[in-house]
Amino acid sequence: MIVEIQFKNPLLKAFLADAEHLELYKQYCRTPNDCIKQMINDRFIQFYIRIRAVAYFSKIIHYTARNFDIERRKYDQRYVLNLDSTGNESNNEGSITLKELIVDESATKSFYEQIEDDLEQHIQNPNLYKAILSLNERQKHILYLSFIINYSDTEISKKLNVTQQAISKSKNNALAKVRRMIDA
Amino acid sequence: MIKEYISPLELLELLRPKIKKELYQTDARYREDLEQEIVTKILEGLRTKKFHSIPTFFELVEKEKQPK
Repeated sequence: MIVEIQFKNPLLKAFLADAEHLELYKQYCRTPNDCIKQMINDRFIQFYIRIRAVAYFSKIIHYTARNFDIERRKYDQRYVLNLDSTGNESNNEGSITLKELIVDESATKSFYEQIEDDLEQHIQNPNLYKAILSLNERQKHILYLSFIINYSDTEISKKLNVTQQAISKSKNNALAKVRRMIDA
Repeated sequence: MIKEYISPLELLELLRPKIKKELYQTDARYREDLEQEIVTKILEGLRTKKFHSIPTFFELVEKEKQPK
């Protein structure tokens, strides 16, 4: 029996390009039996699965890489590292990054705070003066920062290291107390 | 299931050149991250992917013999 090995199907061609596979196939053509047939089938499935797997996963790899770059770019755009750049100046000597130029507000005191003024010294109305004196130090300090220096609640909260809500509450309590004292 | 036919290590070895090639398209800083991502995806696929209609060798031979 003539062994037919001139296949057009590229899969068969590639499979029989392996000497071992070819030998098995020739053997089968000469003496067909189920044992060899089973062996060829097993080998073929192994061979075929590898081709399919490589093709399939190549696509997966490609898309994973592409999506990864897209995600990466999105991330870079959203979280720009402005502070790590060296600014627009052309001379990069010493290369000071922008983050080194940020002022630490907690490390500096404003001019008004350095004077260390008391709230009551700004009051002219005698009734109001009396009311203010009845407040505790913390309440006076908050009212001072709020009305004399004109800080916002948020700014005060940063100075005193508490939440903005706490400042707002203390301030309102102090004001309510003052109001009660005046009305009384 | 693919995992019945190929071990993960063998599959990764088969795909090594393709992975390398794709890694070069991203920034050098992120290559390791991407490689990890790819390997994760491959192992995931290996666990879940099924190929349907796997032909047997002799089916293809029969087809070849049929006059067109």
